[in-house]
Amino acid sequence: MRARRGRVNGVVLALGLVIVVPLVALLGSGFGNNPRAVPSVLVGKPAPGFTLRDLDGAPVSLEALRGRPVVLNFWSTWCQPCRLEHPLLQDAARAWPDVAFLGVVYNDEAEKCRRYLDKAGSAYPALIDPDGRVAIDYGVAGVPETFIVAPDGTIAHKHVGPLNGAQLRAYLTPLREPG
Amino acid sequence: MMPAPLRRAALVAALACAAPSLAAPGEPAAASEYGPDTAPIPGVAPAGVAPADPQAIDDTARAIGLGLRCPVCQGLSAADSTSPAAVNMQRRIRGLVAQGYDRAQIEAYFQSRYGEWVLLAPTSEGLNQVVWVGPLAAGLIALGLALGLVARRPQERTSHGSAADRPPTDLPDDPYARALLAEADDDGAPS
Repeated sequence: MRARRGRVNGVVLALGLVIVVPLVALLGSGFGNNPRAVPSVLVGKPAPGFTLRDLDGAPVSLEALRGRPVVLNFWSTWCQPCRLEHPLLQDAARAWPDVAFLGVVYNDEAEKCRRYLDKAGSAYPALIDPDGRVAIDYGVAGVPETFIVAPDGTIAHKHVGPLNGAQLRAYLTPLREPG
Repeated sequence: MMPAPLRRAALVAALACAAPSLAAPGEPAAASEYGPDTAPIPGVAPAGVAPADPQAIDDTARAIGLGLRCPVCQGLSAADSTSPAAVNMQRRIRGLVAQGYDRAQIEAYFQSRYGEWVLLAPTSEGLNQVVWVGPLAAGLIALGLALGLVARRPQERTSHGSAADRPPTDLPDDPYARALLAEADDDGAPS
């Protein structure tokens, strides 16, 4: 009885280990990942082009900004983290005139944006994105999301969530002309 | 009843007559408050032909949307969610179907923007094969184990004489069961 039990356990143990060890290893390797963080497939690719109208109806095209770094910020008035990073983006846009800043309004009404920007300040164009087509083109899954476009028109970085000054500086410094 | 070839000819003729009224040439397939969604996939030409009637476009777009993840939801497809992001996505899918893009092209487009994450069913490539093959392999291993155990049982019973291992009594080992049996005996005995 005892001998039989020992032998069967050995086989079961070996098979169990074969099944369990790779599973535990897989779970262990995935444990440190943020399940909501989706790696962007767009970094290093050409930034999808667009021509959108700002709140005053003036057309703005990404292609026309080739040669300058572009900070492309998807935001909305109903998004609290967007309001949090808004002053930083305004200050940065004023401090670095060589960098083009663009805001793309995500699922929001032009009138609400106009009212908000009148109060909170507006140093760069806020673009209306009909049907969220540009947001889809950039794979935007929420706001705020910020794309840093290099002067050659490729996407250098994608930042999910509100930016802080150090992050923005780190993204932009290598892309700006020295001096 | 008409013979089959005749019936088919009649159907084709009927469709040919109906077609102009179903899809007026140059008429935008999907119109929103911002105008028709006729933006193509950049650098990609439509591989197929748009379905003839709006209902077919809707059905095709919904079928494709069911396989794509709503970007702001938890495990909902673009076709199932009513969130503005999903509605926009479904509208974009419909616009692409109306331009003649086929399912593979539309899925590839969304995958190129959102990553493979946007596909609700992972592709069967690379490490993903584990997900597809794993359960089958586990089932086969379990079946093999079960068959092996069943095949080995009778031999072991004879060689080890399992009957001899049992205690030489017909009383159960469990004290509770023994108490139950004793009580049953007491009740059943005529007094």
